[in-house]
This record gives sequence, C-alpha cells and structure tokens, in this order.
Amino acid sequence: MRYLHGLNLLRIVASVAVFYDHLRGWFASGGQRWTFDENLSAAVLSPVRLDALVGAFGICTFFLVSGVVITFAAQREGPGRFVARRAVRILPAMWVVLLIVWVLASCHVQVGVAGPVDAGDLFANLTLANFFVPNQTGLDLVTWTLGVQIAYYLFVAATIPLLRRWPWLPPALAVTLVSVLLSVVSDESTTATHMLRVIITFLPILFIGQLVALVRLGRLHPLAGLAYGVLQWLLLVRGDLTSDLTPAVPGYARMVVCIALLVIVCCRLSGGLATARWTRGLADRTYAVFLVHVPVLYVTPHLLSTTTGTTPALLIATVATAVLADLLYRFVEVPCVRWYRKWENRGRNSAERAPDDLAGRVEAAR
Amino acid sequence: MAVAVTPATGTAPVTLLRAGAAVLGTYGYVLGLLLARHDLNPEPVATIRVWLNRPLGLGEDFGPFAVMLLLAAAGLQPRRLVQVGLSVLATVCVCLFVYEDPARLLAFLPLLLAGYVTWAVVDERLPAWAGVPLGVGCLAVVVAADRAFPGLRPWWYPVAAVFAVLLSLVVVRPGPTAGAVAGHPVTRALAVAAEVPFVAGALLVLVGA
Repeated sequence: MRYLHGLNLLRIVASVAVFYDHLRGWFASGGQRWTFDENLSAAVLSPVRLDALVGAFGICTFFLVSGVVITFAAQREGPGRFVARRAVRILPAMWVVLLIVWVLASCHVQVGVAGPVDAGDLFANLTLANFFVPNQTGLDLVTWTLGVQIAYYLFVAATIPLLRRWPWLPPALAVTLVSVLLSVVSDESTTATHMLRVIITFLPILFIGQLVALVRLGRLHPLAGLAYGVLQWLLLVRGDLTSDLTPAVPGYARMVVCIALLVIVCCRLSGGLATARWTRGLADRTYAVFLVHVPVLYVTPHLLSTTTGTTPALLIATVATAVLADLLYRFVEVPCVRWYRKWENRGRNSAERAPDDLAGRVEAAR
Repeated sequence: MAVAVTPATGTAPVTLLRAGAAVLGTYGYVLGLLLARHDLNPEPVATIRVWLNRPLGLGEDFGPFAVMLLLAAAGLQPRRLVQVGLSVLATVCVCLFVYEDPARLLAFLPLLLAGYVTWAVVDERLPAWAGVPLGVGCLAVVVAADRAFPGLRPWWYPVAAVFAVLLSLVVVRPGPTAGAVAGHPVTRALAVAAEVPFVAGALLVLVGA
C-alpha cells in the first residue's frame, strides 16, 4: 500500500478545527467575547459560510479520511483481524481518557461533565451506551463520533469478502442500507433512536471516503465511483431534509463535497509539507488530541482564567492538550498497538511477520 | 473557434472544465433565466433547486459557478490569448447585461488568476509554496468583493469560488477515464462552444425574451 501522506495534513487541519470550535464553545459558555474569533469569522468563515460549521468541518474531515484509510486496510486484512486491529487502535486510548475524566468528575473537578457521576456512568461511557440510554452523564462527548466510526468498521468487516471479489457490491449495499435505515429510523424522540439517526445520517460521509479509496486502488471504475458518491451525497441531503434534529446545523452537504474534493487533491500530494516528519508526528497524535482536548479545555481555563486572565489560560490549555495528547499517544496508543501486533505474530517465523515498527506506525496512523 | 482538444495534448482539464461550464451555463443562463423571466418553476427545476442548489450553496441555478469554471479553465491555458479573451468577454456580458452589476466582475475574475496559478504550479513554473498563498489570495479577493458589496452577499459567491478552485485542482491531473471523457466528441463540442450560453443569456436579456 502506498502511504497517503497528504491525508496527514488534512487530519491536522481537522484536529485544529475541532479544537478551535470547542475553544469557541468555552468562550460562549462563559459569556465572553473572543476578539480573534470575531475577526476571523467576519473575514473568512462567514463569507465562505463556515461560521457555524468549524467543528463539523473537522469531524467530517476525520470521517472522510477514515473512510479512505480503512478501505485501504480492508484490502489486506480478514474480517476478524480487521475488527481486532481497529478495536486496539481506538478503544484503549478512549478507555484511559474516560477513566481519568470519571475519576476527576467523581472528585468534583470541572472537566466539562454535567452533574454527578457513578459507576453506571463509567460503564455506559466505556461501552458508548451513554449515547443510547437516557439520563446517562457523558464523560467525553466527542466520543459520539466513534459510534459512527464503529458502525462503519462493522459494515466494512462484514463486507470484506465481497469487497475483494466484487468491489462494486459493498458500495451498492451501503447505498441501499443507508436509504432503508433513513426510512425506518425517522423518529428521534428517544435517546437511542436519536443516536441511531445520527449514525445513519453521517455514515454516507465515510462511504464517500470508501469510494475515493476504491477508485484510487483501481478496484472501482471512476464513473461508477462518481455515481455511488452522488447517491451517498443525496442520502446525506435526504437525511438533512427529513430531520429537524440531525445534523444539528445546516450546511453539512455543501461542506462534504468540499472535503471530498480536498481529499482527492491531498491523496495526490507526495512531497513538501505532506511528507515532513513533523507532519507525520502531529497527524499520528490527532486521535489523542481529539480525545483529550474537551476535558482539558474545560478543566484548565476554569482553574486558571479567574487568576491569570483568558489569554494565558487558553495558551496553557493548548499546551496541556498537546502534552497530554503526546503522553496518551506514547504510553497508551503505540504500546497497545505494538503489544497486539506482537501477540498477533506469535508463533510465526520472522519471514511471515510484518516489521513491528512499520506495522505499529501504519496502524497508529489510522 | 475550433480547439484541438485531446488528452494527448494535455488539454483534458481545460476541456472538462469548459464542458462543465457550458452545461451549467446553459442551465443557469438560458433555461433558468427564461423560467425566471416568465415566472415559471417547473417540477424538475424546483427539485434540482431543493436537492442540489440549496445543499451545495450554489444559487442562481449554477450560473455564477459556471462563469467561475469558465474563467478557471481560461486561466489554465494562458497561451491561448484569444480563448482567454473570449471567456473574459462572456463574463463581462453576463455581468453587464444579465446582472447589470459590474461589481460581480470583482467576484468572478479572480478565478482567472486562480486558474493561471494552478497552471503555473502544475507546469512547475511556480513553486507550490508560492502557488498556495497566491491561490488563497485569489479567493481572498472574492471574499473582499463579497464584503465590499453587500448586494453580492445573498449569492454566496465565495462558496462557488471555493468549489470552482477545488474542482480545477481535481481535474488538473486527469486519469485515463477523465481523459476519455474529455476526448469524447460531445464533451469536445461543449468545450469549444463554452462561451455561447453566457453570451446567449446576455442576448436574451437584451431582446427581452
């Protein structure tokens, strides 16, 4: 597999967008003005109609990039190994962050958690059940996106044999599945049905990423990929037109087309910034940044802003996010992936093994 | 003007963008304009507006987006001065006669430069580190026009400009399929006559059709 260096740049941009959007949320929650954001909004974000979509831009970019990269991985892994590798990649880091947030929230430290927490909340969050069961306190609300990712992983795992033999079939099944589910899950009155609707609404974005990858791999004719892509995009529009709640803000459809075009352009980048070491290093840590930034943003400014002022508090929050994300990456993500790869390679001779370092890095980049 | 357009000559990106501009320009400035002038809103057009125009943020039945594609394509072939001139002339016709608003030229013409910058980077006449800020600068001019003229704001031209630039970047290195589509006689014919719908739109307004 040829490494898609350009996608690293997009992952960094996506990470910054999500972080920036939650910074805005922090200012808004305190009823404060943020002059920098007001200027940026007026000069750039409003004219390109991205003002209300900064966080959504980041999340959609992660979805699309994930759709591309996961499809590449699915070309060389069996369903069982595919699911296990994805689980090792995303769950340990998420569990560590949730556990720490739960401990802090239990000690009444402000970490963006609304209300008291108990063991049931921890269990619900660790299994993402908090998004399906009413009256559960969320410990790290960005984890809802993992619900969408996991649904996509399961679909890909289930269709790997088809993907290898008839690459045109899984995209056709995906279109049918999303269309039927949009019709069936139209009521969002309960917590569970709302989350289901969220997953169904956002799945087309990942499927568009899958189509980009299949065309790039030469497994799908570009015109077929375009046709499927248009259908998936129309399903995204349909999801928006048939729900008042999901997506929460209008404009996703427009943004997804922009991001899809950006992904296609970035897939071709093979030099300069895209291949720089620091780009790879930052991109590798985007998942960790995604997980830790909300708790860090809500704990550090609240502790500091009254005594140090807003700007130093935000700088400290940013540095704290970077440091904690690096620690999470170095001491949880990478060791878990390497440990699993060693376990996976047990009993094989050296010729059959993937180089551990390379395997770890490729996996961690996912 | 007949242009020899084949993938082999490396003009496939221009052909694709111009053919796209011709189709969307015909839809926006001929069909869309006639319907608007006769206060008609047939079901297929209404459906396209709900399912494509509004979600994409490309208003006025894709017309301005088509102009931007035409200009981006013109920028990609700077040596064909006559072709560039025709494209600019078609844009001027649209702005002066269809919109009766020269300010729109400020929102449209930066796409010509964006196309030129893209060509210069692809042709390795300009390093990418210089091309990216220049390209962003072109979009900044569209944004500045949007902010300077409040009358333009409802039409979301910066959004259309972003789409046009991204699409240009995607087609600038066409694969075999895109090359084959560009080499198809219908695509080539559309590309050759790309300015016609824009001038036709202006004529329709002039004759009061």
